[in-house]
Amino acid sequence: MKLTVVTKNESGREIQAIDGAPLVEVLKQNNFYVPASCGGSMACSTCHVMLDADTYANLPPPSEDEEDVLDMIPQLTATSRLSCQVICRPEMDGGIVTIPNEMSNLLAK
Amino acid sequence: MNQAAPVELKPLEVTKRKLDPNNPGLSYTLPAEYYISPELYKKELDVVFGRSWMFACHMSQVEEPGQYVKIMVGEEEVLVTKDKQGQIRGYYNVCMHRAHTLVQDTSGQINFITCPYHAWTYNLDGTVRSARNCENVDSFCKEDFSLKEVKVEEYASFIWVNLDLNAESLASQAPDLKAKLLEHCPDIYKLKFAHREVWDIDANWKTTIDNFSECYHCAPSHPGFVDLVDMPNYTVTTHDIWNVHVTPVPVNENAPLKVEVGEGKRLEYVAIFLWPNMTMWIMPGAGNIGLLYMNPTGPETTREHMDFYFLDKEPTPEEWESIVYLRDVLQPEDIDLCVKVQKGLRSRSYNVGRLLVDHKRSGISEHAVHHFQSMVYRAHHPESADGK
Repeated sequence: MKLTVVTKNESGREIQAIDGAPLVEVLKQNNFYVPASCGGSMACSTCHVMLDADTYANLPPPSEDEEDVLDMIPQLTATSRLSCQVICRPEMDGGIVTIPNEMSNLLAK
Repeated sequence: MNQAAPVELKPLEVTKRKLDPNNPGLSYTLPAEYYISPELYKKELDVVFGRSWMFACHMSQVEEPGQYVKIMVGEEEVLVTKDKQGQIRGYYNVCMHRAHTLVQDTSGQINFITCPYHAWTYNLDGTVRSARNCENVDSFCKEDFSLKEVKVEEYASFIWVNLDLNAESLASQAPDLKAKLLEHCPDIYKLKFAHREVWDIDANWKTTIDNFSECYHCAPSHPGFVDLVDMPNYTVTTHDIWNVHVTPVPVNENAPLKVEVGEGKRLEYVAIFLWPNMTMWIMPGAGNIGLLYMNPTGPETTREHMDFYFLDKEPTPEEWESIVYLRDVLQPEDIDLCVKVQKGLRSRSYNVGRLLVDHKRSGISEHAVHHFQSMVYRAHHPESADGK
């Protein structure tokens, strides 16, 4: 499946994602800067991304633990997710993933 | 080499001059060593601050789950919050993994507690929420690493904590205090945190409490303050672990602080001391309370907090005037007194002084100093309930 990644430096780069891979790993493999400092334990928020509305709606909803992290992110949007919690699935094909200009880091407080 | 003559450090007759917890009228002060000794300071971190109820915040500051405050109890950082089930909880602010402190701000809002060191997280109920990589470690049991709790109690609208898990409740230790607070501050449950001032004082924490415990020094040392109050009708009464100073507001056009007199407005200054380190100060006028608490930061250093609560979190111009008066006039005067007393306590010339407790227990009598110092003495000497 294909995803388009938007960052402050790239207006949209198409990448290939593998079914079943955590989105954060796919982003890292494609050399996008997503530290994911807490290793997927939902503590830091440094893997925060925004999805397009359709892709967001097609995914299983975030867990309570993930919501607890999202809730504390200043850059929170209606389609925010922690990319460590998003598993790539064929329904995401053609989706747009935006890495926020400003990275949130709950560990830096 | 000539040897200098040995210097007598303390008067010989000191053994006869003692603090007598049972006889305020004939009592002397606590000896100076209680105010300067590093060993006695360390002991107090345990026998006083490790076992007494300490102020954390007003109920309204932990109203929502995850709202928290961080306070100091002696040298311990304590985190107080409300968990998702609505229970107020208190924890040592220390990660059970490798001991890094947890929250760094003095207040805030969180959904879970994070350690910034290795990104361990805890639920608001103190259980481990995540410990990165623990699933790949042998015999790791999250339940073994829940946060260490302290005792928490709501009393008279405030949240109090006690490091001693076996401590008797504050309500049972000071049963009449709540009624006294409600008598002078009927709106206490409606108050909101408005403002904080913090001072670091070069004096032992008890030096500052002694100073707040008497108004014998008011006329010579606070010339402005005695114009604000009615000294002949100033009363000081002692109770179990608290004492209270009350003085009506006289009509005085030249007073340094204008007091708004109106229907339903209270017309007295009230200062309630609660063991071990808290003075609750109620000004005349609309619902208000100022909490002045002294936390030791060393044998001869103290951090004073002054937290102001009003009906609204934005103080009115009159309320600001009272904050500014306390901040810029009264507190600097008191701090200067304490620092100079601390200097004198270090002198080889001084060991104990006589407490001036008069027959009438008048407004200038030092019986509340005796009350406080007797509690200190009993904390150090629990084996003699009568303090002898």
